[in-house]
Amino acid sequence: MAAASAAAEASGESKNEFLIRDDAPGLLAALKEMKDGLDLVRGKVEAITRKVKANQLPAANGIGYLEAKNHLLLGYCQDIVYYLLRKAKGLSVDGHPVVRSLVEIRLFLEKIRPIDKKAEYQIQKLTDAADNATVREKPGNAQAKGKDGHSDEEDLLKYRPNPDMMDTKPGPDGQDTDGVYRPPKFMPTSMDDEEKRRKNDSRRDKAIARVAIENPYIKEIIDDAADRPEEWKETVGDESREFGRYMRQREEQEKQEEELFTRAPVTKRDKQIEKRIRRQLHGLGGLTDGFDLGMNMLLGGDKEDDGGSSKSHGKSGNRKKHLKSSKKRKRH
Amino acid sequence: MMNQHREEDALRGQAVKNQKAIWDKTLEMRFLLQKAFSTSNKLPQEPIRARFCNHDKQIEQAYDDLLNSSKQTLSSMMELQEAMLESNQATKGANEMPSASNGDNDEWSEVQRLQTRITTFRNTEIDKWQRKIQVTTGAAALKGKLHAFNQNISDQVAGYMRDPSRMINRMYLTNSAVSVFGKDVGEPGTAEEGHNMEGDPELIDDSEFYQQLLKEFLESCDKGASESAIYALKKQQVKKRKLVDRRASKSRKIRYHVHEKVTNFMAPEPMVLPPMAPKLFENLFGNAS
Repeated sequence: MAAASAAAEASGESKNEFLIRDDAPGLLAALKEMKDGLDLVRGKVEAITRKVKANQLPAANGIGYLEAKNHLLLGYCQDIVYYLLRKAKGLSVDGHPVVRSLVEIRLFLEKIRPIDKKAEYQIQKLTDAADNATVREKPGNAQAKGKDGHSDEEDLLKYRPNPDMMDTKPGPDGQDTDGVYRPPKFMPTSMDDEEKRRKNDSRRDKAIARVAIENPYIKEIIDDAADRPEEWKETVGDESREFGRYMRQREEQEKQEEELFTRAPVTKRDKQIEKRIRRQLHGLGGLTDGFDLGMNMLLGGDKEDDGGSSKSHGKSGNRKKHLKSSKKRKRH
Repeated sequence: MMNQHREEDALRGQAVKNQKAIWDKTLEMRFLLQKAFSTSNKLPQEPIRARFCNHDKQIEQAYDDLLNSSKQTLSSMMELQEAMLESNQATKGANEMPSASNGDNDEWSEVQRLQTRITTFRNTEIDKWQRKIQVTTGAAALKGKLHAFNQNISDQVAGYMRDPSRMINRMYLTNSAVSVFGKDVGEPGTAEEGHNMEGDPELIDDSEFYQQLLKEFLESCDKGASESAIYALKKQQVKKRKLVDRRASKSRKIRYHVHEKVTNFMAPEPMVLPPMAPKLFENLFGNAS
């Protein structure tokens, strides 16, 4: 029986030894980390202490409430460091007054939070007053330096224009008491014609709006902003302006057809246009669309160009002429 | 006259700025101490501590270094508090007490002496400012209706401290939350721990209050920090938009879904067993009879 208990005790001891051997590196690292942390804190504390002792942070005229708050937090830090010290000694903290002190200071700091919120305005007012005072002091110091200290900089005021040398002498209001010349002010006048500018602006706005409506990228941005679902298209590559216009026309036509329950007749010419556009669709036709308009806008031109290539316009114009002449011929 | 007032305000404002600077520095100290404070709960108590020291001389040396460092830090903090008390007229001669040294508990008696010295000043100032705020906000009109809220802060705290056990219990950590060095995780607790199911009185946790202070500090640094952070997070989330074909409505396109090809599927093939198969299987797997 005694042998069994001795064996159990021995196994317990060996287990403890294993635990200590396993945890030793971790404990060593933790102790070093804690020491480094405390050293860092001590460095900061000593720096503030030096400043306070040298009266670099005078707080005698300050608010007593803030002073009390500082003492509370400092006391809290002291309690924490003492707690660490006690833990490092391996002593118990159960029932020790340090825990009670931690709780008390914590309660104080929690209870004064509403005062902090409400006293913020008064404190801000005082700090602003201090800031204003420092701002006022700076120009004064600069003037004093200028008068007393013989600076190497030249007096720039000696290069000011002499009004007596001028043909048209300004009145007494042109000259100020500080010796700095100020030219007389005339009535402000606008040189450009208001009406013309308004017209140009409206014209430019219309052109930009048209480009924006036709531009797929801007359309995408607008759709994105309006949170519309993304449109899935069967086409690949850049669509030309002509194709866009044609598609809009087709959609409008379809809408009307659906409303009126009738099919619009498709002419041979419409079929030809559609075929031509379909053929051009995957080429590089739309690459230079809008280039003319963009250049005009950049150079400030007021041309109300549609942005399409001039060739296509020419073609369509010629075609119209031919059609007219053929019709005339048919009538005869 | 106005100029004199302005100068006084400027002086006072500068002093307030200095006080705020000291507060910020002290708060920084508090934040730096947090790591060490949470790690200290892992340190073993006396019998196990001695075993660790005997096991490894490096650990013993590290313990000595830590003790020296913590003593020096504590004394430098007390020196700072003394300097602050000396520089402030209101607290200069407040409750001067002789320092009583009683060996092992020497550090604590020093800490307590300093804290007792500022108690009166602290209570007076906080209560004065509380009254000031009550007057300016009209909270004084509630006098008598909500007695607990209209008590002085110092009285409220004193009331709590008559029986602080509830507050203290809230700060205790459970054994499972902290893995103490040299202690087995499954090790049964002592009889004392058995009584205190809420937490171990040896493990004090202050992370809740620390987070509160940290949050306040961050808010004071940048007023709209929290709102802007939330807004930035929202902006980062990419909106998922549905992919639709607008021309597919009104039956202008046939809607269908292509099924995935069936994988790992094979139709059964008919198979004729040879006559010797049953005999073969019998010999292979042994006779059932």
